[in-house]
Amino acid sequence: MMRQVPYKLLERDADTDQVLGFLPGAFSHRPNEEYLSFGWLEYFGGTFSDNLSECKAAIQRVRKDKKALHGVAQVGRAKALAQHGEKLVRLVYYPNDKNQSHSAMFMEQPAPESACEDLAHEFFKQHC
Amino acid sequence: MSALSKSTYSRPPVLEAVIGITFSQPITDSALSAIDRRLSKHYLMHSDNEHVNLLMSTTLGADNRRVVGAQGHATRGHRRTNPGMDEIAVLMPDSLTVSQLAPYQGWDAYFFRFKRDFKAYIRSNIHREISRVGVRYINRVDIPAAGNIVEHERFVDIYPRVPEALGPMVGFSLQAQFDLKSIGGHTTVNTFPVQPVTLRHASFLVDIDVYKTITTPMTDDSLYSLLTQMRVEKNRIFEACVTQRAREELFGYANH
Amino acid sequence: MPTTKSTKPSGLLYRPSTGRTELPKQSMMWSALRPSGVDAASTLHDLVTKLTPGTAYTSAPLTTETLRPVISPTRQEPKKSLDEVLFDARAMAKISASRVSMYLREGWRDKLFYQLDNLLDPEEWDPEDKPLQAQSFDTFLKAICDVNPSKRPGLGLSYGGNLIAAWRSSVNKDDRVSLEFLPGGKVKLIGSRFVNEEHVSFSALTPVAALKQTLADMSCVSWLSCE
Repeated sequence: MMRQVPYKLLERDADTDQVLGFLPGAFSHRPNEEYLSFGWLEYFGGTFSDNLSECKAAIQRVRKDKKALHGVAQVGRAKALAQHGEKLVRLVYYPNDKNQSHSAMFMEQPAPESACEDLAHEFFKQHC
Repeated sequence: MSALSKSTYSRPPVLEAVIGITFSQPITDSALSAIDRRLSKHYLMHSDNEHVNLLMSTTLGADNRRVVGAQGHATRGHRRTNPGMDEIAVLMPDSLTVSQLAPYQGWDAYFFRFKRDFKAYIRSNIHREISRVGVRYINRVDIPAAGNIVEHERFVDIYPRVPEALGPMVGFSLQAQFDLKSIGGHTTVNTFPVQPVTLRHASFLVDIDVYKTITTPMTDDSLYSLLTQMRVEKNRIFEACVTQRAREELFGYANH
Repeated sequence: MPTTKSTKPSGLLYRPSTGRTELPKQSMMWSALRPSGVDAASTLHDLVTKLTPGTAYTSAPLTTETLRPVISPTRQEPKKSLDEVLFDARAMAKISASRVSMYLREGWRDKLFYQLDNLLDPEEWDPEDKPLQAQSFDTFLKAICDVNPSKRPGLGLSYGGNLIAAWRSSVNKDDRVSLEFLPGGKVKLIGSRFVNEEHVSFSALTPVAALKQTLADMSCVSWLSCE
């Protein structure tokens, strides 16, 4: 699964501006948001590399952001990291007109800080 | 000259420095716009500035009904700032105000900027008679609060004297006015506590306004000379209002 | 609340209050009037034309060309454009930073402004997100002045407009801490480190006055240092 991280939630080196990671806030809910949005790569059914491009393009149709980066993680791993507290994490395929690969992660709200940090670390391992 | 004239503060407490020149006659909107264009290359940000004077009063009419009267007028000008928002010039039809917010880089740089802006202003001001000259420095003294105690008078030497029987003050505002014979002008000193911007400190403003009403024509050089003298007076007043402990512990005084 | 203790017989005692000290009012403050015999007016001009003009004061006459309506129960400020909103946020931050600039390390102010200009760039700004909030920035400035880190942080901005500062350990670059500066003087601390090759996260919510101690308790003070 893929998550778009806007420029303002990228962790960047103060001197070189090099991107060092995703800030945990990238995996917290926006006000009035019921779930975290992701793109589901396998929806596109192609090679991994093709799926990355298609998924990124689909997400950008919903929220265009040229300076954003896109983090990728395995579904099972992401669910396990998001599981903090009693409320079970659910990942639901939730397509919309602009993004047919859209999936929603329902989890504890507000998202626990440690979960946000763990997800930020995991999704940054593979990003584009 | 102050004994500290050759010293510098590594942490000058200046919050804002202001030089204001008021002219006897206002200039037209188009002349003011020309000045604004002239200064646009030095101050990239622009906003409109408006002074509104509104006077209202109530009187009892013949039928014993309360009548409200109102009169007022608005004056439009220009406010220019640099991208860092610390260099400001306010252009009004009858005045020029050049300000420097913290960090204060010293008189030389600030005065150089003022002279540049003043020359740009008077090019479009055919009258040029100055009616008032003012130099105002707003300082903030941040005093460490050790526990529940702020030893105010160990750092600042201007404060109200109140009877102990009244207990601790929760606020005060003090204004004192003096004649300055050396320049033929006056000074107003305001001091009062303000919300501290740093933790574990109490903050006090020491606002020194040195001004002179001008009744005879001035050349540019005589204006610059007067401003320099006013700055010396401002320094003298400020140094009299703070203690040596404030200089050393708060402002980073280094005696060269 | 701190109190001033005087060693002089005059006994100056000062205890800073939570509110601001009010300056003596030097200008007339005006509030909406509904004097008897006057209909509610939607503009000051309407009010003046309905009243008997003239007072003991004389000044230039009132004109609606020069004054916006000042009495209007339904008056609304025109909505600001995105550019204006973000400009105001940048201006607010720079003016606030000016007030503590005497405590900032050399070069920090310029770098801070560069980072803020990038964060509050109208290009690609999501209109659903809030710009930098003044109270969050105030908390940030208090924290920076108190903790006084020698290493500059990377800066970010939450969806709600709270400033975020992040530091990485110089020794183990995978260890990091981020601080989200909340309104009301609170700081949300979120970090992670590797312990026996396991990624372990930690978090805390602390008043800004206790941030230094909290960073020490979490053993990440050194991450904010260049040494």
